[in-house]
Amino acid sequence: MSPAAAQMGEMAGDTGSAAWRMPPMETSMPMLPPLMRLRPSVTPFLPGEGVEIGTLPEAVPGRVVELADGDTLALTAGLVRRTIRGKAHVMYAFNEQHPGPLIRVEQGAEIVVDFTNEIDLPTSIHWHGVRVENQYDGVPGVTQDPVMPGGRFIYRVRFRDAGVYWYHPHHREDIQQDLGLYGNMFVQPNAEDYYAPVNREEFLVLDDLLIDDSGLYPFGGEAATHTLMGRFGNLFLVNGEPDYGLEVDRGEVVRFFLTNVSNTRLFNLSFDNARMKIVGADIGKFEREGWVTSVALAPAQRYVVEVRFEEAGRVALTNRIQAIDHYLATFYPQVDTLALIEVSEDEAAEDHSAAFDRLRENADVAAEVGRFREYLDRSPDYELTLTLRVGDLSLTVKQMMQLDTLYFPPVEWNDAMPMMNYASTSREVEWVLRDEGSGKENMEIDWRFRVGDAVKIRLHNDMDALHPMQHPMHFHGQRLLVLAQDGRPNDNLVWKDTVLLPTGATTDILLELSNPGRWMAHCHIAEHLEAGMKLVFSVDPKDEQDREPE
Amino acid sequence: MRARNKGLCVEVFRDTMSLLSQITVLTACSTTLAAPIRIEMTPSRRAGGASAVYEMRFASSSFGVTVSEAGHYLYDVHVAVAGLRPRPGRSFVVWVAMSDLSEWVSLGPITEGQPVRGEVGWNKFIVFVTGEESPDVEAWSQEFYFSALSPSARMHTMMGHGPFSSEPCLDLRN
Repeated sequence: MSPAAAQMGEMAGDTGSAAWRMPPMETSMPMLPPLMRLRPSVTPFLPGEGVEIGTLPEAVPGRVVELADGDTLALTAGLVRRTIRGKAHVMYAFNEQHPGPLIRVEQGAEIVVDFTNEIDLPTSIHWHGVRVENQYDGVPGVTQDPVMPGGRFIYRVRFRDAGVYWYHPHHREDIQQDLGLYGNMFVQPNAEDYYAPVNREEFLVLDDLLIDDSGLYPFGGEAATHTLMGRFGNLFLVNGEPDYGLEVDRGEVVRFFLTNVSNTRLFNLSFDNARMKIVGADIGKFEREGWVTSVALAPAQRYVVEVRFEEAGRVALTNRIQAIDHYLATFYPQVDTLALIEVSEDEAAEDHSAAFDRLRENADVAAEVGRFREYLDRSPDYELTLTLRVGDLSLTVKQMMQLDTLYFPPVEWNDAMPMMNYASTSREVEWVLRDEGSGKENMEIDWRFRVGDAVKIRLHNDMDALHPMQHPMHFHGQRLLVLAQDGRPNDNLVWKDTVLLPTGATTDILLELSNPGRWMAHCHIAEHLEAGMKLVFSVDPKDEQDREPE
Repeated sequence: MRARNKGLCVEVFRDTMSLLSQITVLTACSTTLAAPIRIEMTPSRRAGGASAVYEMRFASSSFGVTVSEAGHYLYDVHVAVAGLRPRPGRSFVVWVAMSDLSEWVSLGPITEGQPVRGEVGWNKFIVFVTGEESPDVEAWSQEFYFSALSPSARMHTMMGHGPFSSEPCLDLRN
């Protein structure tokens, strides 16, 4: 069999939907023969075994659900038939929608979510970035038991902070999230002028899917595959669509709420030559808005940007990266069109160009975060090293990784070692969070705080690991500020819940402890989470009044 | 060949701290706050006993990871020299060039007590110091004193492996 044939997934007798086959990869990426023999040490898994695909409901585009304080949403995770470019696949969906319903609420509202699990795996729902009451955070083994197939769980979700959030499973999310279980939440700010006036708001959920001629590429059954780099997809999806489009009028200012729900891919997003202003991030607004030519969006992160479409014509939302070809030791440009915006000749109904041209300074944000600037000069309370431990990987993989480790980029934008990556499972690879103070690692770590505390944590992404990589670190239930990067103070703060650490980076964060309970912090590359990169910290109530979220 | 300055910000430290302390500061940064990369530059015979070092780290931005629209990493590059004696009629100039020399930029003059800092928007590049008749020249005269490759030059082609490989690759780490 020729390498090219193998790269196209034409492995004899291996074309069943849930059988290991060569993972799809760029045909320009030759593989050394020993690498082509690699297979994961786990059973391949795809959902819906034994289910006749024709009996499943066809997934439909996500709908908006507006909920008032006290409302209840019935949410079901189930199997769907999803047709992508003429080919049907068994996937998962919330309420048969891709993405799941966009939940719109007003700031301060509390809703009830009556959740039913009708997929073939245990699951749960995590309300990413929302400072929910601890028992509703949706982390099996920490805040609840998993919801078994056929089971039900009642979540109460209170929305304290304005902005854009998302919900997803927190059990084998490498499978469930990748197969469509994700949706946005938008919390309408109480203040009318919280954001600048725009012509419209759009929510873009960005994802990628690994797929070839035989269908969806299998996942690891007993344990996650792709644990070295995470599972990169080769089909880009915006709001679940491979060919997403939008129509706007000339002169329109659009506020985009961008969410990256992919397992591991970092996007570098731009709107051709349209001017783009960055307004906010995970939990609210920056102190000061700024002009940018692109935004780099890591898994789980959100950015809020405003774009003005000044000229009639077509504008592409693109992902532009410099990919790595390890075989030739070169970088090469890769440009993918994620969506097309058709700008009509018609003038926008309202002219918001003056507001768009002005960069706002948000005194309310500056006043709130300003009290934490004193932490800049303090020594860190905790130091956490992010590193890797590998076990029984094949000798070939280890040798190749030793060679690769001679150079690693700050960010890996593409799967530059697809065979080594897919064959690595959480049985052989352990990603590690090490508390330098105690020497404890991952779930052995048991930090204890009290409501009202603010702690400075220094995160160091070890560049000397066998395969260093960037890590988007997510802290549940609280807010954080990025105080400094590699020793340089950050003078424009924004509340976040997920911070990206490029390879080799040292980042100081301020973690505000405002919400009692036992919470998880972890890398949001789904396969790194599955490979152990997580810890739990406790926040004790300050007194009895603090037993409920503030 | 053409020079390029667009999108590249050049700043020069103007303080007067001693040469030794400059190097010490850079070294201290790399140990306590982990500047990801610190590279001792290779001196030419002209450099005598002088030495030079460059550090690079991701450029700083409040808006997340710093890359150009095209996806090139943006790096802060710091260069400092030690023991480089003045030469009559010569200015020492720091350059950064793409590895194929298709584009380059001057980061400006460097002397003892005056390290140089600039931002580089290329993935693969060479940093070097030359002696020039003027600190403002647009291209170097090829009178080299120091040079070093960016870390990405260590990215290893797999073409050298397999049954025909003879490269002692693993020794590069030692």
